[in-house]
Amino acid sequence: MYAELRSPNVHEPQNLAEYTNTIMSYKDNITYLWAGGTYIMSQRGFYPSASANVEIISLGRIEELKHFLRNDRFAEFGSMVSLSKIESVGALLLPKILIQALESTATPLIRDSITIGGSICTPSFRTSIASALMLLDSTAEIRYPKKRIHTKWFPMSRVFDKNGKLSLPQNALMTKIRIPIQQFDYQYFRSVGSPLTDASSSVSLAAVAKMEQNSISSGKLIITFPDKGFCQSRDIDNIFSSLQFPCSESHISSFYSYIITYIRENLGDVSQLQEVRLRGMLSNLIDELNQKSISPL
Amino acid sequence: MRIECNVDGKALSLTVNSIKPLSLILMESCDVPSLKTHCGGKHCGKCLVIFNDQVVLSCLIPAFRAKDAIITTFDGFVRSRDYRDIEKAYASTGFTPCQNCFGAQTLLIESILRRYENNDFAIDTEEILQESTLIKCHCVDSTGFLETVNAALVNRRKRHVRRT
Repeated sequence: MYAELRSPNVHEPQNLAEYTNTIMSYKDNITYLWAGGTYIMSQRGFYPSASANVEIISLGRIEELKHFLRNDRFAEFGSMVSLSKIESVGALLLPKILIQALESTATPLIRDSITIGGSICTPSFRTSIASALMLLDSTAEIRYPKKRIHTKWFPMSRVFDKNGKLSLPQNALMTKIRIPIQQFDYQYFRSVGSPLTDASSSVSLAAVAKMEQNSISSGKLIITFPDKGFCQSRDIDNIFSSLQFPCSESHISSFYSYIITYIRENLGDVSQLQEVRLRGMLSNLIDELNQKSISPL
Repeated sequence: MRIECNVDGKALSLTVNSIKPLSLILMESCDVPSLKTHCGGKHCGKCLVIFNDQVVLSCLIPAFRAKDAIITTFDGFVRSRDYRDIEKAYASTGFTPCQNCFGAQTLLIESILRRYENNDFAIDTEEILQESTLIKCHCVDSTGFLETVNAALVNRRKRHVRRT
């Protein structure tokens, strides 16, 4: 069936230099960068494709994109490293929220084929992996063609605009992701729903904090709505950091209502299910911090 | 595009659209009886195949990646000795998936066995339960699935010990 349709051209560069030549030659055509293919293959109407003259650049054979490096300060992964590999390599090394974000993504069998670069650069929804990386102040190396090829390190928060859309230069390629190795006194991650199959009802919350007795000395929090974008703000972080534990109900409700107002102003209306789920996660987060503050250890 | 691959031991040369999903190629060009539906990448879990020694969802593999690949479907897998370990486990636990997902469940168990067979690690129950949610079928019973995986792993490890 559909065998008579024009078959897209597939380019399989062996290294970054070959990739550069390919992208420069076809920069005016419709090009798909093919990492693991999990997202692209699950798009409705991808096959049979209505658009002709499509060029596919498969990144699977570029060895430079599959490397892993670590030292005392950071761990660095090529963008074609699969989530399951990062999970196994980084289990004892990477911050807990990132490992939990990886584990909450699809099932182990599907994680074998999802790549970290692909999970960040999906155009139509945002993943909790990207938000965890933003929270951890990760950076990404981006190669993009202008008159010549430029290579630049971007903080993960600059990979997306304030509405959560990808804001990379045209025909850019994410080559490396650098994750700082930091210690936190408290880490929290929860995710409900699958962004791939049910983006409009899923939501995730990630938070990290450094504690001093019963208060947070520095805390950060990020909420991900896969269909809308990220909710991260210095104001929310400041309110979160100013909470004293055990926290009273009135403080919790004013914190929650501030977050909801911020979301409505910046991301628009979220579904009622997402809102209920977020409220549950936030109260769970505060409960855990309350318990931590009153426990003897 | 022209691809050459090996499906269940048969060398094939096919002319297909370069982005055609492998599940459709196997259903339409190779007449594989165990593959009945194509979910269009919606992760229904029923199109599992062994692709270059790795169990994958064939609806997520485009034709251009199947170039020179060795593909084993459930129909080929039932002829292998590895299948006997899982068959024995089904018999011992009494867990039998329905006809619609029998092949997929079996290959899913095989993928878990391949992860654990060469080491002595205890099974990560949470991971297996998460894995069992891959196949969307009314007959899925996570307890039975977990028991079968454990029993099949014991069979597989015993066979490896005997071999060495």
